[in-house]
Amino acid sequence: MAIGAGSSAYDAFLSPKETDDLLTLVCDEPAEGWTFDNIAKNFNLLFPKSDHYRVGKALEMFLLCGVLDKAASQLVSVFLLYDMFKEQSLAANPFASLFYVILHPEQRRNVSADHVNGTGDDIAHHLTRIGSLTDATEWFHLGLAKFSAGSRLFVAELAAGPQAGMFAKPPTFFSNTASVSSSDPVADISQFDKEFLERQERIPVIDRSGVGCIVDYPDVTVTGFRHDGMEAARETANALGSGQKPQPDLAFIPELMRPVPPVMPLSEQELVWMNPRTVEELKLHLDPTMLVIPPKWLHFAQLILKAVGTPLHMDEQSTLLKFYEHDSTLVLGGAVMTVEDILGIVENNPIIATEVFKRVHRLPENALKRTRFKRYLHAFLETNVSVHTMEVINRLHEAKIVPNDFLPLYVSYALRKCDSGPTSESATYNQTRLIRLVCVFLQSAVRNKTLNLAENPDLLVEIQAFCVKQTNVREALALYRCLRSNQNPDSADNFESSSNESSSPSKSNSEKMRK
Amino acid sequence: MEQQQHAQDRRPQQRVVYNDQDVQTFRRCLASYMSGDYSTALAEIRTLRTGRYAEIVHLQLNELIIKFYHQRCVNADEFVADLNDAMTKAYGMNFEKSRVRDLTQVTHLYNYALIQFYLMRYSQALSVMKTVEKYFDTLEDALVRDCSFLLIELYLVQHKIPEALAVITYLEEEFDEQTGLRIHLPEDLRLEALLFDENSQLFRPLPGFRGKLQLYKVKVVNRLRVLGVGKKGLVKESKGLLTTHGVMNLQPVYLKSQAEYNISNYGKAIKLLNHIPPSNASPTLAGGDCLPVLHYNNLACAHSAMGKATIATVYFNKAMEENTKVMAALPIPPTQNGLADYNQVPLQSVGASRCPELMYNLGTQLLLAGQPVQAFTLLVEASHIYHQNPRLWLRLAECCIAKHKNDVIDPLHRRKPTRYMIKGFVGSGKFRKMLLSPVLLPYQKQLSQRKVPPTTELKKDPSEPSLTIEFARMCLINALAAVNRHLSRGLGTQEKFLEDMYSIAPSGISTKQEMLNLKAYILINLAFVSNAMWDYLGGIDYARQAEAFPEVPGVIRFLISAYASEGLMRINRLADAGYYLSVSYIQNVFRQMNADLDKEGQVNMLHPSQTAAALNSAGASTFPPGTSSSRSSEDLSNNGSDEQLNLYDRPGAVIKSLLHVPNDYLRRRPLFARNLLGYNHAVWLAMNGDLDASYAIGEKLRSSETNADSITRARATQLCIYIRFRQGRGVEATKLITNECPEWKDRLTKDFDVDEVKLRQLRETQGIPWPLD
Repeated sequence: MAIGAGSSAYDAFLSPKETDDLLTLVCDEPAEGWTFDNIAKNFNLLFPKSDHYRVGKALEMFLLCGVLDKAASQLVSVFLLYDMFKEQSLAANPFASLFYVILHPEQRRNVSADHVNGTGDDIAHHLTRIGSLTDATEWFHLGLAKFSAGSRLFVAELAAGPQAGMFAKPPTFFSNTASVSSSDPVADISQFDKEFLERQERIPVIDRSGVGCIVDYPDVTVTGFRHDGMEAARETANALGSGQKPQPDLAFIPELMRPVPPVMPLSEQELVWMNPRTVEELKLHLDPTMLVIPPKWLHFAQLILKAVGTPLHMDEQSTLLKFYEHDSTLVLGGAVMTVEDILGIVENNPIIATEVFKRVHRLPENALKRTRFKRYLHAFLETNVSVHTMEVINRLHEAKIVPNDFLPLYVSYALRKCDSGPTSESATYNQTRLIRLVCVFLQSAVRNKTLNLAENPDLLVEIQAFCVKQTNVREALALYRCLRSNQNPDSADNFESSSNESSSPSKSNSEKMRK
Repeated sequence: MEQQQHAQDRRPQQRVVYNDQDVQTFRRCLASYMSGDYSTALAEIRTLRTGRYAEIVHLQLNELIIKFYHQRCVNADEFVADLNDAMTKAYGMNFEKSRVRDLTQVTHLYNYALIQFYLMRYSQALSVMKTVEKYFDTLEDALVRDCSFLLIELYLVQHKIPEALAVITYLEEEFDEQTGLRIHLPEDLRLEALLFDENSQLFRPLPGFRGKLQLYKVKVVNRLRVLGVGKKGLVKESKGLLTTHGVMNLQPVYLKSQAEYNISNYGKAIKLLNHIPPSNASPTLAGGDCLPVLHYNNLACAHSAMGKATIATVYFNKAMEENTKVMAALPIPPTQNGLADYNQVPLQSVGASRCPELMYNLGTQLLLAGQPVQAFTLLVEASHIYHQNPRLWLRLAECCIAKHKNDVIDPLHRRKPTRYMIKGFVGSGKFRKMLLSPVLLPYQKQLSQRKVPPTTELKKDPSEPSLTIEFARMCLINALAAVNRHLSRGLGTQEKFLEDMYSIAPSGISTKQEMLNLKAYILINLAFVSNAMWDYLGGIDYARQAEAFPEVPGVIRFLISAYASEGLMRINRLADAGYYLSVSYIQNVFRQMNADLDKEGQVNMLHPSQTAAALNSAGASTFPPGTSSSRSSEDLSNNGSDEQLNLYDRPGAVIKSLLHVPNDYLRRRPLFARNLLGYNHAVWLAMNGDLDASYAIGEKLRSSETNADSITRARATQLCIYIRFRQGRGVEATKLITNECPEWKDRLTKDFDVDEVKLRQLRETQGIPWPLD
């Protein structure tokens, strides 16, 4: 279990006076009245509550580094750590891990594995050889190694809940092994253990796995050894607490390497290549009103623009048609129009529209004419199906200026429009009207042989399916019959019986409704 | 109000019957205007207006336009205001949005769009031109031609390449190459007009139409390259460009040069650019462009692509200087409200400054040349304009991160990072203590244990641009938002997606893969920044988002592993972290990084055979760290030190050029990545309590056989020391420390901090760059 690891604050330093006061309090043994109670009282006089954590950190460091050489001083330090935070349970004490390690000596890291493995032998041998040491292991057993069994019993009592009068005794009562026999019953610390381990679980492993940054590095030379004694311990403690490089709270943890992400490589066109702009030849255009529309077409242009939005009067229509009769090159007479405008003319003035289409078609054959004519025709496939659009298409087809493949496309489009379904009651009325319109249109197309269904079996199937679906519309029945008679004159009547059967549920439904 | 406006809109136009004489006068006026003789044109139109047409608004409009050109296009604001008044008089309010009535209105819409174009209000201009485009069928040739050219320019400015190409196709299909007139149409209009006047200006042919169209085509194709036109298409289109136009003509030379640049023919591109030295031409062109700016910028682009970063930087700087010079020459006094007063500037020169693009170019170049601090200022400026560009935000963040790295790691410590492992000694005799540095590198310590001085840093607004990690995070969040916006817009068809990506000014993004790559880089940077700010949950989240991408480069996978595992370990989820540090994961990363290098090598390297050889040696070795199998040690010993050398010695300018790119070594050294992840794996093992296995890897990484870099080796040493302490083998650990850091003998009594201060001063005064980059 790691001790002293985790937090990363620099605020655990002590001033030289504080260090001195603390060490005096912990190490010096006054002749009388040296009880835990008195020590706690003195401590609280010296250090306000706000400094307790800081001082506690330093005490912990002193303990772990072994600069508190006497068993009594160590016990006093542990007691002070307890006393500082006694209002909370010991498991919640910031230094709980220290208590845990004291109570569980098997957890201690300083079990000298070096000696077990024999790696420390050469140093021990060296020390013994120079005659300075009888037991080399002692040299390396600093820190908590000297924590006596009695002291441990005291700490166990703290963990289990201190008994009354315990703190009225001097520390030496517990630290001297002689006064407390090892056979005394040990207080129950299982509650502390449980609580402490639960708390530890919440701290990430990586944050509680550090080892201390202060490493024993005894001066194993003869001069170094002679330096031994209380003075040296005090001097080291002073240096650690308030010296140049105090580090009571730093832990030595192997940090994970966090590579800095590389700058994204330059993509091929990331840097902007600059070309001169090509617009220098572009100029503002003058208003061409005086030239654009020849005066003789002025009236025509006005009329055709009007035709986009409203149906023309009979006389206006005849004026327009007269213009067309007189001039074979006239298409739109200089009026500017979009495809939507052309469809507007179709919707409002189908006769004029037919004439416009005929004019466009009569233009000399070239790429533009083809594309433009196609564009105009295909606009029909994106607009609503109405009497007028169908009328125009019918007229154009009769005049044989619509390509053969267009009509099937349009029929298919119209059928789909009919099938798309009404959304409201008024829409239902319009829908039925549309279905009837389409049926009549198809009927006339089939009768006049403008629509050759023999070449388009797919379309035929589509129309038949449509008729079967719309049996409640009379025109659909008529269309179906017309189709059948065209195919096979004898079988035309069969449909009626079959459609009656198939539509019987809907019929019965409607009868029910009527009732 | 609405009714009133409606009534105004529908007010019958004033139709005046002009007599033949007046029409002839107007024709003469038009001819003078077209030939640039504005004083004659002005005189003619004034003659007309003094007569009975004084109140005719169309003539008033014409007079305004001619007068504007007569005054050399200055006072644009006034002109635009007058024009708007006259247009409102003629067509009612909102004339640019109302229904088009006749050709005159279309003409004025075009004029309006052209003015908006020069004033850099591109979207407004484009929306007007889109209305005009609908009437192309029934407009006269010259107008359609000019409208088309303007449309192409607008689409190019807005990076809408497919649309620009569609306009070109339209021109090709409908116009005669030679004359520039429409093929046969509109018949009625032209025949009628030509009957009156054989030299009708409205239907004038455009002699250089073919060449002009070709120029536009190359211009578009140059931008289109990445869409799959490829080398062949470019060569085909740009062929004959110079023969048609001559070698001293500016436009074709620049376009041809760009075509060469696009097919990686940088030498030729530079040669072509040098055909027209900037000193020979007039500094400012008619279109408002400044030639030296373009010249130096393009030279810099070519040099940058050739890997000559320093020269590129010099040229970009020169271009900036020229731009400033030109702008200083233009009298643009800023007005009170901070907007520039354009009235003294010719309309065409209003948008002449290329400053934002130049700042973007120079900033990016400086960042790649390892000068993040200088780059940052420029990129911040550029970000005011290109705030929709995710790449720019990423670059800004990269500046901050590069600076952060410079601050955190002292380059002088890189040579022997373990040197400062011992911080000092205290005490004497039996109580002598050695103080270890808690982290390896002194400056990293400052970061990881940073104590924020409350007075200085907190007062500052973190959203204010500064080279901090906090600001990097903000930039990255902006970048992520921008990328997501672009990606979500492009959910429809592929064309729609491409169109959208092209519209990212100033340079667009060419493919979806590139966009996804960009997003992966943004996410991984976010993960890094989050971890650096102790937001480990965020770090894990971003890393996992990046991991979800199907095709991310190996280096990203490597970083995902590093960041996600770090985050997971920090939030105590060791088991999950184990996935990212598993042997198979690390091996996959290593393989993929090698494969990436291989791919890049095939594209960029001059001698693929050498590359292949280098990669074979690299690919043969795989390192399963921490396994007890004997394979790991065998594999490790197979890694010769040659591999690393090979990676650096690969021929080709690109590799050389990228050596100074901050942290680019990460991409280029799979071995480094593998060792780093191996180390992290060992730490993971140690945290899991498997100290022996962890020590084994640490030992391996320390030894020379893995060929690990100095930092990883130092880390591994630290890990070994740590493990020995954990095992309670303090003497062994101490021995390790003293062996690695023999300086302790000299420095036992010295103060190490004094030494550190000296080192830092040395670094600052000499400006020592990264030795590894």
